[in-house]
Amino acid sequence: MTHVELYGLTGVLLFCMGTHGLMARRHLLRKAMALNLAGGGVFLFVVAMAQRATEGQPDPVPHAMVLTGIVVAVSATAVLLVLVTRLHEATGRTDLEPGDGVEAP
Amino acid sequence: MTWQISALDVLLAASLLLLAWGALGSADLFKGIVLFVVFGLLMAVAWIRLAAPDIALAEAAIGSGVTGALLLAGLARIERNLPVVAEVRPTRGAWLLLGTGALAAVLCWSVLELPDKAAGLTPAVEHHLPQTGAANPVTAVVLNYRGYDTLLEMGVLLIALIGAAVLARPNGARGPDRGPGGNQVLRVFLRSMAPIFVLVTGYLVWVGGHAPGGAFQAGALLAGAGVVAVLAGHRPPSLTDGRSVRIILAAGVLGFLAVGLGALGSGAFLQYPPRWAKHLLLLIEVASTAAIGLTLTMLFAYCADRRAGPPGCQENGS
Repeated sequence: MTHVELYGLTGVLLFCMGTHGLMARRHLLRKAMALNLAGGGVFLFVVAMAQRATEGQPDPVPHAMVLTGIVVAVSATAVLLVLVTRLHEATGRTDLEPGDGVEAP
Repeated sequence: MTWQISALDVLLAASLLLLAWGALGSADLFKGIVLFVVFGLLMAVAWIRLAAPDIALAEAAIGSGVTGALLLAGLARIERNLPVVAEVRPTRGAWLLLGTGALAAVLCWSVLELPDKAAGLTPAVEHHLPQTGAANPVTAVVLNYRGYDTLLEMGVLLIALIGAAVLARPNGARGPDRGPGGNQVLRVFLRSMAPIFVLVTGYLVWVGGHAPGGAFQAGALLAGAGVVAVLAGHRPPSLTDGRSVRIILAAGVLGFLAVGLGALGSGAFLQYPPRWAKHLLLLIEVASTAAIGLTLTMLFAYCADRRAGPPGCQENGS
């Protein structure tokens, strides 16, 4: 197996784990982590595919896109965390499930 | 350029998957976030294996460092009394697992079906590299070939900061400087390391022209220093502090716009004249570094606001 395939598979599996965690976990901080993991998986896949360039150097355009993606991901995570902390301050909850969520005293 | 995998690659891939599993699955949220930070550091090693040192620098600083700090700060703020809730109803959990498993199977099969060689854009990038003003192809793509993307990315950072400022707690007082939340060790550390932070930041900006480095990595390092300053108890800058804060924050976008509009004289928007390209790129990078560093520091400060909460919880800071 070439390393392109290995890291491509790892990226894809990370994306699936992140997506599953985003949907399955209730705690909002876990959802934020799952979102970042899914993003990391996508980046890993994209850069692994960039290694297939026929020249000596890997394709730099996907590298630049992943660089942009990392910065955008951290910006989104920061806004997400401010939202989560405000939600907790306002309602005492850390999840968005209706009904049988436990209310903090 | 592909090669057969070695034991290191297999170990790395397995560790990444295990760490991701641990981060999402561990019952203790603090442990999960720490595993997430370690995951980010191993991702930096993976980027090195994939010949992407620029991304490795950025991932270690931003993806693992700043994101981990943000998550820990958020956890510290909400961990007063964490109610114990079941994670997900069993029937829905089974369907989710099945669906995600099917998605994973399809994606893995399609990865293995992709062609082994793909020319990509390397020839096009290499062909005009001398005229871009940067010898490092990634920097040339980020600041020249895909300059629009980076301009809008600086805009995204600014918008995220404005969003966090709007959503954060309304009153502006953030406690006195050297307040009870301060940490003496961090303060001394910051005082002795501050010159080195600034020096390495400047070096990263300069070296990004011809070697791995650049504005984002340098800005992330500045943000690291800013996070240490906030944790040490220094009062973080806020939007109401005066005009200089807002000028630095906007400098990323404004610098880009100014250079882009200036280039209208010799061509299209953002079409740098080749003779001045290197200097214009350096100008943009310096402005962007300051903006990125300050923006990420203030984003962390908004997430780490420790004014709320009962007395006695200010010692167990971040």
